[in-house]
Order: sequence, then C-alpha cells, then structure tokens
Amino acid sequence: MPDDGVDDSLMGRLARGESEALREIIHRHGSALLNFIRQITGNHAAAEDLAQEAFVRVFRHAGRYVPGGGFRAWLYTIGRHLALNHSRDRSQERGNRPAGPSFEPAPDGGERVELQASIDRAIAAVPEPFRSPLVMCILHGLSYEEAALASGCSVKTLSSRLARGRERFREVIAPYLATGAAIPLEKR
Amino acid sequence: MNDCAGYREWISRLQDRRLDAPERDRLSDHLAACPDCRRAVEEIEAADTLLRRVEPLDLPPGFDDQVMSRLKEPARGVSGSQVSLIALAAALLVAVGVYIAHRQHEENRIVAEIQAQLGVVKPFMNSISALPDPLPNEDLEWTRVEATALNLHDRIQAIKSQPLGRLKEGAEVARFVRQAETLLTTLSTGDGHRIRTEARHPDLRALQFTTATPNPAIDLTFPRNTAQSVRDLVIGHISLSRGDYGTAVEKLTAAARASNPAPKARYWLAEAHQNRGEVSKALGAYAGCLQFEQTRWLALQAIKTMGTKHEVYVNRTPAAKFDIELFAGSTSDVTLLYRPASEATWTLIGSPDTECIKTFGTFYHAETPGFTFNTSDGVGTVEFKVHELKSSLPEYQWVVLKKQEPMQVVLEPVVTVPRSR
Repeated sequence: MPDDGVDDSLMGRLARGESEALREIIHRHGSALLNFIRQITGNHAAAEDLAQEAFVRVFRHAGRYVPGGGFRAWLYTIGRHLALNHSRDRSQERGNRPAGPSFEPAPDGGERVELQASIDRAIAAVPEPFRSPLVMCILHGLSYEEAALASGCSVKTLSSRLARGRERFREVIAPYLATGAAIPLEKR
Repeated sequence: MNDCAGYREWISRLQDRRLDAPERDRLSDHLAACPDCRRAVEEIEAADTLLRRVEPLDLPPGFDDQVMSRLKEPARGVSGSQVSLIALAAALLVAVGVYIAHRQHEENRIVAEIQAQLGVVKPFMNSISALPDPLPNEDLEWTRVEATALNLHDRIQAIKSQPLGRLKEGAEVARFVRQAETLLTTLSTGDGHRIRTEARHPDLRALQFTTATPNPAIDLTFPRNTAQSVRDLVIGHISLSRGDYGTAVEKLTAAARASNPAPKARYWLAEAHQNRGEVSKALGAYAGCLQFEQTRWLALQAIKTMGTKHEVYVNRTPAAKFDIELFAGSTSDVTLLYRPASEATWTLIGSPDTECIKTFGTFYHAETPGFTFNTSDGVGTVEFKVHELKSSLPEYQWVVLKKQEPMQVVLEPVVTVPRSR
C-alpha cells in the first residue's frame, strides 16, 4: 500500500494516544505484515501472534516514529526482528540447527493449490539473510531503500543479498518450472 | 568483470530497473556472448513472475480486536534471546551513567546553569542517573529498559529543540546528546561490539581524576589494598574511553592475564584492539568473553561482526589456501588487504554448503572488492591463488579462524611472511 502521508498522519494520532488509529493501520498493513512474517517464519500460527505483537509495538513505540514516508520500512523492521527472533529461538530449541522455516501449512491448506505450496517451500529453502530481501522486494514490493532500512544494511548489501536470494530461489524452483513437479519439503 | 558470477547481481538489478545505462550496456554485451547468463535472465524472470503470484492470506476475523485487547496487557516478558539484548541494553545505559558519574563535577555545574533556562536538562540527567545499577540480572523486564531508553529519546529531542548553541555549555550538552544518541542507536541495532560497557567495580567509584585539560592526565587514587589487576583494569578502561588505545591494550592485557580477571577486562581489551584496527586480536579477545554468560550474546554478536571482516594478507607464495570456518548460517565478507599487482583468483572448494556470492577474476590495488560467503553448515574453504605480487610487502601472518565448538573461536597463525627487503 503506497505511503501517501496517511501512515504518518495515523502515526501522529497514535503518538497522541488515539489508539483507535491503530485499527486503521492494521486495516492498511495487517495482511501484508502477517504474510511477511509467515513467509519468514514459515509458521502460520506463530505469524499471527507475532503480527499482533508487532502492532502492539507500533502502538507502544509510536512516539519514536519519525514522520517522513518511511512507515513501511519501520513496520517491516519490527516484523522482521520479531520473525527472526522467533526463528532463532526455534532453532536454539532444535539444538542450534540453522534457522529455516518449516512451513507448516496455512489453515486453509486444503484449498491451496500445489503451486502455492511449492512456492512456499522454495522460499523456505532460501536461507537468511537472503530470504528477507527476496520476500520484501519481490513479494511485498518494497524498494531497495525500504528493504535495506528494514534489514539494517546498506542498499548495496541489500542488492547483493537480493541477487543471492533470487539465485537460490531460482535453483530450487527450476525443477518445478521445468517439469511442473511439486517441490518437496526440505530435509532437516 | 570477466566471469558470470559477477554479473548475477546486475541481472537481479535489471529485473528491478536498478541498472544505469553503462551497466545495462555492459550486461547486454555480456548476455550476447553468454548463453548461461541469458538462461539465468529467463529463469529469474520466470521465478519472479511465479513469486508475484503468491496469494496473500487475509487477516483472520477479529485480528484487530485481539491487538487492541493486547494493548491493555502489560508488556510481554522476554524470550531467552531477548534476555541477552536486555543485558546489552542495560550495559549501554549503565555506561551512560558511568560516564556521567565520571564527569559529575562538570555536569552539575552545567546542569545548574542550563536548567534555569531550559528546564529539560535536569530530567534528562535524572533519567540517566536512574538507570539500573548494579547491572540488572537476566530477569529484568524488557519494558523497564525500553521505557528508560524511550525517556532518554524524548529528552534528547527536547534538548535538541532548545537553542543550546547560544550557551557556553551548549557544546558540552550537545556532546552528551550525541553520546546518548549513539547509545540509543547501539541499543536499537544491537551492535554489541560498539558498547562502551560498564564499570561496576567499587574501586572505580572512588576514583579521582581530572578532566580540566584537553588531554587530561589520569590522576588516580586507589584504596591502598587495591589489587594490581584492578588498577590495570581501571586505568585501561579510562585510557580506552579517552582514546589512548596503546595504554588501554597494555593495561587491559595485564588485567586479562590476572589469575581471576575481571569479567570486562577481555571485553575492553577487545574494544581497544578494535579501535586500533587489530581485528584479529579483537576477535580473539571477544571470544575470551564467552565464559561469562551475561556477555555471551554480546560477544557472539561481536564475533559475528568481527568475523565478517577477515583480513587476508598476500604472501609471496604463488598459491595458498585460506581456511575459514563460519558460524552456521552466517555470512562472511573477506577483504584482501594487500592486493597483488596483476591478478588473483579465488576459487571456492570444499563444502558444498558454502557459497561464494562473488568471484572476482582480477584484483587491482585501487579497489577493495570484498567477497561474501554464506554457509549453512559452518565450514568452508577458499583456495587463494596469486599470480603476481607487489615487490614490497610488509611482514604479515596468515590467520586461520577455527571454530572449536559453538561460540568459541581460536586464532592460529600458521605462516609468517618475511618482510621484503
């Protein structure tokens, strides 16, 4: 959703304590953030909880937000941190295995076509720190600058990571593109 | 750029229309001659198209109501990983307090003068003075630290909005503001290696030292029975904070070698090495911090950060190997500090799970191209071939970073290169 100043205005209201403005922010960005977190963690149930927590933090930190059109980057920064923290905690629970989404199916999995599931698995096969740029820039339409801000890196680094993410995604999805075969879950 | 790998980032940027005209022309020339890259362009375009077909899930019903109800709950407790961040945050904030304490005399005078005109400095100072002390343990709630940080942020904004420049002490206060802002940035980015860290030893509280001159001498009065290691620690820390890194390294090295070294000795030593640009030594010192649970996360962050800047020195051997072991899932940048005159080729061998993002065919002196390696299994080997070298290379060592077990790193110099005459 383009930032046409509405987000800054809503954040201003939020900073003044008008909590109802949060509903409008959720209406504008909730679905995108939920999907982003789900694509990073691969866990639908956790994503919903983390997305809720992200918006709670938006509310609590509204006074820190500096207007200027960077709301989406700010929001994705919060979401990315929560998602990566979650993945890291999960990986530690698994005994320090590299973090990666397990991609539990969404509740409506029965209705989802195999293509969707295959794409999810291919995204899951892209390791961090390459997955976030891929998801932010390609799936969510963030600019390099926004994604770099959200990733806490330079635009040059972001560009490099995005290229690497694309390469990895291409490698994984190539068999599907060639044969139409389903992509299996990664062995872990 | 002679190899395909170097063009892959350009192919990615091409999809996003982020290439300028000369780059487009060069890529176009390359594509005309390279069927592999042409296929890569087609496949990446297809993959992008596929990605964009992902259908987003709608928010579940009642999502916003659930968020609104959570606003009324107390802030959440922290997870294990956040606990360490809290320790970092607390350490940073305590660091402000320590700094303030060191300069108490000056600040009191400044505060007294400015308070009457501004009315905001005192609360600002109070917010710093109210920082947790001693260093909070791991069950400290995140909200407490964060609330302090937010308060600090608000005060900084308030101070910045005042015409401090007209006051004699404006520069002094501005310096505090800059320092506090840096700490807040550090807090938000989690850059553990930039921490000024805290000084909690009771002897430090009894210190007397002068700050009246531009280059203040350290005039310390220790209690008579103060151990030498503590004296070294304190002088080392103050030297560090004043930018005298030579003295800091000397004193902190001695403090770190004590039979029962203070927890922060190695940490400050690492920082001193780092400020001197001695990356490998800093890395080793940071690694030594790992025995302390509270700084575990800090050190890990530091190692990750430091570990991504591997210094590779060229020796006069036409071919050599540079072994590097990374944390699983980590990324490492390798920078060649002294490049050969004509050409050096890097070839990635060994673990199939380690990937080299860029492969440069040629190095020249003028540029410092970096490699980025990513590994998912924590092991990778780079074969480094040098075809021609500069005639005068200083004496350097090869350094091999080896991971012994999770979160422990040792440095092992394996080759000493004689200085050229």
